[in-house]
Amino acid sequence: MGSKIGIDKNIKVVMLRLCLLLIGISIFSACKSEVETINIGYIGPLTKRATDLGIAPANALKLSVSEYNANRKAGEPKVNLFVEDDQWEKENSMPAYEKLRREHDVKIVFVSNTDGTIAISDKVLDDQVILVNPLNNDALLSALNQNIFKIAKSTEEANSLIAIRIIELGLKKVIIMHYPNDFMTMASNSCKKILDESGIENRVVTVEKENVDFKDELKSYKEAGYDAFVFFGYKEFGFAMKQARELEITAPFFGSTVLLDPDYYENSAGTIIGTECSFFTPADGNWVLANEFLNRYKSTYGENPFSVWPPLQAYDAMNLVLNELRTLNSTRGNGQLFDEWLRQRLFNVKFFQGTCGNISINTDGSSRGIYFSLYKYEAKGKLLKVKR
Amino acid sequence: MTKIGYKLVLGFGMFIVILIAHSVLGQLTTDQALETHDRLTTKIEPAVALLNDIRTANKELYLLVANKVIDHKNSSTSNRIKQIIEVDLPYFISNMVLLKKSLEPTDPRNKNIDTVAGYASKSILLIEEINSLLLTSKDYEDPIKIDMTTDLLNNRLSVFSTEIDNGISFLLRKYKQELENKVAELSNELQSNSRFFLLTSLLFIGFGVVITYRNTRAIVKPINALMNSVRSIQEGNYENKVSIKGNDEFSMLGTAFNQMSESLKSSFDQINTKNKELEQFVYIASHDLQEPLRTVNSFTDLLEKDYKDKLDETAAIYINFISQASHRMSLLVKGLLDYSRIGGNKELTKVKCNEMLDALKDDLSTLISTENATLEVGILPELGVYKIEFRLLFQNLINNAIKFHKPGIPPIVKITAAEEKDFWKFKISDNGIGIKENQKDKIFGMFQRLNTQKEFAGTGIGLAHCVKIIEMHGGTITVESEFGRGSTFCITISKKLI
Repeated sequence: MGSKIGIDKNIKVVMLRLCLLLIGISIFSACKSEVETINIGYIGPLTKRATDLGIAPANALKLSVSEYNANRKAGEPKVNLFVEDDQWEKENSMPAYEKLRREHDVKIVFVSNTDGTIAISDKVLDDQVILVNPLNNDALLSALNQNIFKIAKSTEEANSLIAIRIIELGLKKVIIMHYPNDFMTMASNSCKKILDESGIENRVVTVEKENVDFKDELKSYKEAGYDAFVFFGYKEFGFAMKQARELEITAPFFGSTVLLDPDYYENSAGTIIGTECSFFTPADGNWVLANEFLNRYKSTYGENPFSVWPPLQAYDAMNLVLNELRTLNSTRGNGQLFDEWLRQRLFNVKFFQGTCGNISINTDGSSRGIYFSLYKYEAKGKLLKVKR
Repeated sequence: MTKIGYKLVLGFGMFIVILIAHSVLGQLTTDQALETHDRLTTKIEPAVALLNDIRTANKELYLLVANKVIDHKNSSTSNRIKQIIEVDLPYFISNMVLLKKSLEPTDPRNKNIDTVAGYASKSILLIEEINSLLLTSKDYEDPIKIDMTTDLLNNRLSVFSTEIDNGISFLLRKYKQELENKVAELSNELQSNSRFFLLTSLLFIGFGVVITYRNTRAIVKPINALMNSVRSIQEGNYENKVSIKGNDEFSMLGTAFNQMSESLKSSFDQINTKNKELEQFVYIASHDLQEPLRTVNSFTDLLEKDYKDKLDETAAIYINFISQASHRMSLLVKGLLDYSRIGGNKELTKVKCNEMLDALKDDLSTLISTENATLEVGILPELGVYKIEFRLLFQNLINNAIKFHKPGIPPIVKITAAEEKDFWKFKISDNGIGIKENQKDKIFGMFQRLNTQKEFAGTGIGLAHCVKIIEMHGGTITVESEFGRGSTFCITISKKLI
């Protein structure tokens, strides 16, 4: 009996020691564990509207991630990319984001749409997720929160080129029609501001979202003597251009960065030709890197993007983030939160050589180094830099 | 520890110490060279590259702003100007702050770095001012704006640009000077390292050779002396004494060796004396036993002859047993006597083996013809041997070869000889009954018999005679045999019989 009790006691001691050992090993492993995989999400317009701002950037992000994974070294985390379609509607951003979080636990999310960025900004901060807008970089986005980064051209700066051009051409009365979203509103306001400063008469008009019949407004603008028409919006403004020319409005047209959407041309029935807009091509950035990227893009997807700046910017934004992510396991402090770590790393980026140029990140999460130029719509799907 | 052990440990210890010293010194000098190289590649070269980048950006910036202001090339230059003032220059300035941290506080370059960084920052602000003045092409039509920007360009930006360039020139000169100094330093360090390694290697090699020679000599010399003494003892010279000086293990070994050889000599003397006594005893016993045996034999013969009719049948059988036993005993005693006589002859004689075997063949002619035996003798040498014993050796071996033949098969005996380095090797082979493997060791013992008297008569002392004769001739005797297929006796006879 005594012997049995002794054996039981020994077994208990051994079991206790084994448990302690397992706990110790678990704690040690937890302390030393490296992040092996990071999931990144992308929310952009893959259907319905502004698909040039969604499909090609998604492809560029995929290309960047696949290149990173193919070249990553031991200790560098693997990255997975998951894409969701928001149809360029801010209402779709939150469901898309929540789906990415729920199904893939994404730690970083790229969002093309400015309104969508605003819509989920509070949520990403609560979730300790880093949000990167790879297309737009404006003052409003910079005012959101510390987890929002904008690795893109400055919205105000890009669109102010239109105002400067109007001044250069000596136009006196400008009508600015814009789509009702944050980006186009910002574009209009930045343009209006410069025109106001130069004393040029102008008027900003917000159009209905799905409106395709602008005849009445255009007729009134013609009668009012507007000599410059600025269309800050998407493919629906193709109808406006066509209708304006049908009304024998001969005033020059100006547009935003999205004129190369094929539907825009189709809707305008060719009247888009001659429109001036701010745009970005490899010649405006790092020509060598940009062309290398575009060649890889074509060999991967079998076609060129019809608008090059969205994929170029998205590619740079993802590369910049991945360049930091590869150091995750070697630079993150013990107990440091992922978003805290990545935020600090991104704030310290002062010189990143990308396809769009040398990029730096400011303390408000905005970036500098991507500069648009003035282009003219020469032929279907073709823009030429304006010589001034 | 033993003294030889101390010597060896000392020798190896010295080598290890030298090796460690060499390695440590080498590591120190290599570290020094690496530090210089590190300073070159991680501090000076990046600093020079940064300064060159700033100089290039500064010049490019001035030219771009000059184009913008003087040549009115606003749109084509503004993006690049923005790139430089918003990204490149701030990045360079932040790197200059890091560069400054790598310098000593008293380093004169600190002041120039501050100057360059300061003027770069001022340039950025100034160009932002120019950009705000020349926003559109309309601004170029405003003479006030043109005057202002031209003034800013000529009187301020050009000064800033020149100051930046001068500061960079000074810094580059200093860094290049440091670079040259460090390169020269590195070169000198590498050269001195090379010389140091060469000299120390030579020194250590010389030292190593001396230590190796001394230690080897200290070990090999007494071993050679011992070897010579061992050989001398092998040749029977027990008087030889080994002489090893010193008080180390070899000296002690030499003393022990001498004591051992004296002990051996004493033992051998005693053995020889005992052997002689034993041989004498055997001789006397066998000689003296012959007389009573002859008497027994004679009277047994008389009993058989004279009382043949008077004794009953049982008595005749008993007398016959007595007669056979006494005759066999006579043979055994004779064998013993012959054995004791072997070695009595101390004179070496030149013997032509073929002639000796011819004579032997004549002596054994009766046996040869009776058994229908064939004796094949090859070309044999002429040797200096103990003639009688040597002949007895071959007689015994041939006799055995014929005697132990297979029933119904005429025996064939072959005798060959081959010369080896130190001895002659004879082979006596037959086609007889052979010997079982487990009985091979027995056959050379005295009175050892593998067969019954009925099968093969004999005393079993013949091969014992052979062993003794072979020992006299400094040789060996072995047998190779396969039961039922014959045997081959191999004997060797030393060429160096004294």
